[in-house]
Amino acid sequence: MLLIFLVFIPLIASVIIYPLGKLLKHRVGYLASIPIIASLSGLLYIGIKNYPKLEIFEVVEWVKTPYINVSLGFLIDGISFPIALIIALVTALACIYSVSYLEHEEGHSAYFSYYLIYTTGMLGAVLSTNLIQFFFFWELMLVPSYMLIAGWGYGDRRRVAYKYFLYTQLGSILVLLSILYLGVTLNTFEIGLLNISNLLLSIPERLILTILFVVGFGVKMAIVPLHGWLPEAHAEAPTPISVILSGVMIEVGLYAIIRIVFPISLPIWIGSVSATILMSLALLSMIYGGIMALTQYDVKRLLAYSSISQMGYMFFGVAAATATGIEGSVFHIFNHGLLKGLLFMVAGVLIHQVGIRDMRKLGGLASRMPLTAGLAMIGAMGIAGLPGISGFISEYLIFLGAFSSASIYKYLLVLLATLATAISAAYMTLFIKRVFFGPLKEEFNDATDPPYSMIIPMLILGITAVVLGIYPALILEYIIPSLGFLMGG
Amino acid sequence: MVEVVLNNIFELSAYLSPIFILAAFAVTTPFINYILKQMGKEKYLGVWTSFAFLSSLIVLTISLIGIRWLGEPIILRLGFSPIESTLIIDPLGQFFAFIFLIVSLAAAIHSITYMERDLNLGSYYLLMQFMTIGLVGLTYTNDLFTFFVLWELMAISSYVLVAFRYHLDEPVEAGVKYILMSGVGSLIMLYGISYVYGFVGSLNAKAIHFGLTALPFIPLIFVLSLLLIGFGIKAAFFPFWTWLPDAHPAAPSPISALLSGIVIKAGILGIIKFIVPVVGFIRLELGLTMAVIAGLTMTVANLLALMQDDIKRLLAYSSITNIGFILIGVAAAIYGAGISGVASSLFHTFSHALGKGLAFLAVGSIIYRLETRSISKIEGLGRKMPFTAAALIIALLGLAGMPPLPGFWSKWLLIYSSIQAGLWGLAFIGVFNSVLAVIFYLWLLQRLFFAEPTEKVLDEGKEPPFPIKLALALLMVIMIIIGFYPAPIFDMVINAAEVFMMLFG
Repeated sequence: MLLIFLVFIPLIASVIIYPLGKLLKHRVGYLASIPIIASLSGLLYIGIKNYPKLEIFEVVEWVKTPYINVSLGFLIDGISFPIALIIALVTALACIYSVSYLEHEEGHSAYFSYYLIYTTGMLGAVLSTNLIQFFFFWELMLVPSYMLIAGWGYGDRRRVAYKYFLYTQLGSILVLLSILYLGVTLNTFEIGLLNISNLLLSIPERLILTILFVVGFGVKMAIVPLHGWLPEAHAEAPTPISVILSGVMIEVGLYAIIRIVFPISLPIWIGSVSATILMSLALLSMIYGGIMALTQYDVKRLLAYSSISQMGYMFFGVAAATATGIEGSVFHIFNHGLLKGLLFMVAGVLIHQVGIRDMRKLGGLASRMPLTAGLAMIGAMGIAGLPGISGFISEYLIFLGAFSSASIYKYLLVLLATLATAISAAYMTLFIKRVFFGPLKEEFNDATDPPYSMIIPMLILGITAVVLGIYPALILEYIIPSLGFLMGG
Repeated sequence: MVEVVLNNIFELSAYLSPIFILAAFAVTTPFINYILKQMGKEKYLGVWTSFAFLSSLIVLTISLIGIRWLGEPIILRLGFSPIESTLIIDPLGQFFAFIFLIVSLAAAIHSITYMERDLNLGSYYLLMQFMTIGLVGLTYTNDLFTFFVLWELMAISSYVLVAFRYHLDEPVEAGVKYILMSGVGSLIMLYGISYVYGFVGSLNAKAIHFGLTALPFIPLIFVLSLLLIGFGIKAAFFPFWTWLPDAHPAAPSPISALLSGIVIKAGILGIIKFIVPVVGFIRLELGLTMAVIAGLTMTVANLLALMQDDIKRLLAYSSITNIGFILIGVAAAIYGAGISGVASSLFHTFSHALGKGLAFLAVGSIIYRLETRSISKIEGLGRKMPFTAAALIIALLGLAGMPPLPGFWSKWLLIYSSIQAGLWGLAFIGVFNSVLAVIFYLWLLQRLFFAEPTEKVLDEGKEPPFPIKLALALLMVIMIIIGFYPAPIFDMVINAAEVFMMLFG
């Protein structure tokens, strides 16, 4: 029952948090983080106890009839473990971070209740073993995240949230139709059985399903032609929510591709043509996101575009369809959660302490907020792929995987991808330089590092990123044993 | 199948206890009304009515469990009846009765405060009880004659209830339109029934099944069209929906909840009971026709709903859309999906009855406080009446198919059954309309929760009194529980569909 508990404890807690929020105001956030920390500790406990080969499966009956069988199952293996872990870690930290961030806002009860439901949605989607169950949690993420953006965001938040909802919902149609088609043809909704039962599908069927799934999940992942909602939503969401949107939510889409689409489409996926097409798509995201990030002055928009670019890297590794590439992608999901989470928190600190997001008006803050500046450096270096921070290892693995892909243009593609890394380095350097270095403007003389409740979550993320940069085996050891099964071996 | 011949009314009442309880309460209602009127506490008649529905619901639940134990339907042959009328106790009917009673209960509780300012409460509650007796009675029928009699009992009560506030213009106009359309529908149905009798020589469901399927093409199409139009006018599907957007908003809110939530479902019940089993060799043609009707109903109503400012009208259009959704299951069942098609229709009937009931009751709560139905005047409601707004939103998101609410389960089951039947186009239209519905519900949600409150809301907005809250909470809790744990409803609908299809071999 441990896994079920892990997933549902935030949801159950949301009912208790709601009335308490009226009494405790923003401090209820500390209480709200307890259930998420409980989930996190449960995950860590499972991880440490079963190091390094994880394979824990729990299932209970949910809907069982002679015609339709939907079980409520949760699976932790090498692929889902790192992603569930980063979701729990980032949501727990962002929850604590929210406390100071929300001091001056209203509606704390609702905020933290939605927040906890959102967490359950993400954890549940990642650990699901059943397609209908997966879709249940996938949709469960949507409404609370929409409410959080529309209720507590900045700027034209209602329009932005609406746009986010529309895009995602249109993507969900394709996912739902494909899932139901799979259910009707294979006569089962179990994800674990896709590996075997996919023999019933013909090649054209697989092709169509793959396209539908990639487009459907691609909207959530914000792969380039489908990215329209992301820059605005991530920039205008309240910053702790930006942390989650960019850091972990969009990656759930990629995880779904690895978990669900891969088994049914492996024979066509590993062909040269499809690998070239998908890798080029990923490359487009990388370069487009990078160049757009270079042109931004708004800190959060820069980070949002950077997320599109980074999503390109992760998709690049998956598109290559090699064990190393996927290993790198899964690890990069973890690292991106750490690093982009950290950077969005830095942006939140700027908004909270200085009140300005425009980089043209900032400058020289390193002398006034040294800790924040140091952490921002770690985040920026990690995204740029500098050795010593965990981002380097995963990007290296992704490129290594791409070298052994089936595409005949693989060398060209990897070359271009390396160039995109240079763009990442460029926009990250610009960001650091414009915000933290250069002459200190007078109005920032009183700026200081933020309160502990904001700095400690950032410290934890930063330190984890450095530790994993030096000793990546901590996470990689979990991923490797599960890759063989995924590649049909 | 167990057949029982009943010779006197006492045996009958033992088998049909839910209905007899309702009838007993209805008969005593005038006396209770008289006593309460003498004491000057007429509004407590609502408590009495709620009690009637509650006790019937409890008895029904007990017998529902009993039937699962028995495992097979019971046919009651009324020994004293001259026209060989039979009644049936099967899971399908019991499931419908269950839905009807839950929504009626919530509406009766809601009426306690909502109707406190009105006069003639005695007739209001009596009509409400008669309507429910008609509806619950329909679920037991096994022949077209009994069906028609109870159908008229339900329909005539509903005509009067729509125009209950006869001193206002709108309800009277809507009531007249409703009685005209619905009356014509009943006549067409009666005409159809007479043809059935002429062709088959009996009105019994089983006999109809054998008799009609043996008919040649033209007479069969003719008879089925008549019946379908009769049921269709009540169920308000394309192109017979025009009366609904007028009639449902004009009625008092608890009555709107009953009309939209359950009365239109009587048409669906009729279609499932008497049309789905007799399709025979025109299976494909009729399936496609129903698919086209379903698609048009959904799409047209959805597009019209987008333009409404009157919130009750918007909900009324959404009811038509959802009838279209329920018809997806019917079309799939006729076309070839069989059991899963019927089951998905039943499930969506449940989701929509509770969801739309809740939505109309929540709007009732808004009208009780603010006395307006215009969406632009109730913007920002979430600030002052969070509970009411939350109920409305849960209802709407539930209908739109968002988890963790029943609509999620019924919608995918509907799409699943249509894919299973091979109706791909219908599946696409269904999903497309589902998204369209989400889009406009969300737009409403946004205005209710995140817009700046209007002056009216700031001045007069206040949570409703306890009975209204109780009614909303009742439906909300059921919806959320079923949303997380849909297994009981899945069990019931699959079992109901299975037993029902088995009856006709």
